Amino acid sequence: MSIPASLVAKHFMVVDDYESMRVMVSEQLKAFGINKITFASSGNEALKKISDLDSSDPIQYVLTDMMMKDGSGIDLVTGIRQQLGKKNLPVLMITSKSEINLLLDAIKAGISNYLTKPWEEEEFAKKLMECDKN
Amino acid sequence: MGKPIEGLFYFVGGFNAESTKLYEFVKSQKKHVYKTDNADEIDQGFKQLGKAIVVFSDAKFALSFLAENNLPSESVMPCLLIDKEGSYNDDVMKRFQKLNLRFYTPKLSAQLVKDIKDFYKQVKATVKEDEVEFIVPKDE
Repeated sequence: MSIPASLVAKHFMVVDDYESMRVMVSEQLKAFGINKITFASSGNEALKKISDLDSSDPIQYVLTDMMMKDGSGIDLVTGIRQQLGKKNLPVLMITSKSEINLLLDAIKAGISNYLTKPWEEEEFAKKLMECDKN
Repeated sequence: MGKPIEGLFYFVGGFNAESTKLYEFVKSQKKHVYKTDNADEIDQGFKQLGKAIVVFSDAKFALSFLAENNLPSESVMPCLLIDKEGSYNDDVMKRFQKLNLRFYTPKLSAQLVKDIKDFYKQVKATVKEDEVEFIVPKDE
């Protein structure tokens, strides 16, 4: 599936407390041609990096895991929307099937869309593009 | 474009000389190898990729880890047991088989070599005096 050049050029952030999952998400992004990726292993680290990079090289797209040791993805999106005031920053939440019951809270907190693990490449690309349109 | 991930290695628990050898080898091949004691991470990686090998260096630890964490959640999760010290025995092996896991010990080196080669096509490995020797291909 072809990803628009405008999306490929964006600065992505991948947030997950598991290193292997961060790598898997980033490898999927790289397979789409997306190479500008910043990593965070917790919600707090993500918020700090988004804030720190804002003036020099802003994060333009966030992919976050739902459940992490240091706060949840819901806490992160709440921080992005309320603390940092970034209402339009696309946030794609990556969830397990067992976490579906938390999705309503995630939507209320302001996620742009969600992707269920394990993902298929085509679905991943579709969700990425849908998020970017919102 | 990025290369698709061929598979994951998760090293769980401690190391011994043999598992250290495998870890260093896989790492040297710039493959995806992680040290973790987190069953959820292993489970997620396995479900996403459908191709992951969990490496244990101690049979007793492996069994208790798998039992405590209710693994494997899927029917087949390849587990590589490199326990040269011999904490495995027939009883332990039977328990592994009951869990429907593929497992290996130094005595099953030939099968290990075959599966590692299947896992990473370009890996060349041989069995030498009951030890597995991993060889980096000359053309790489």
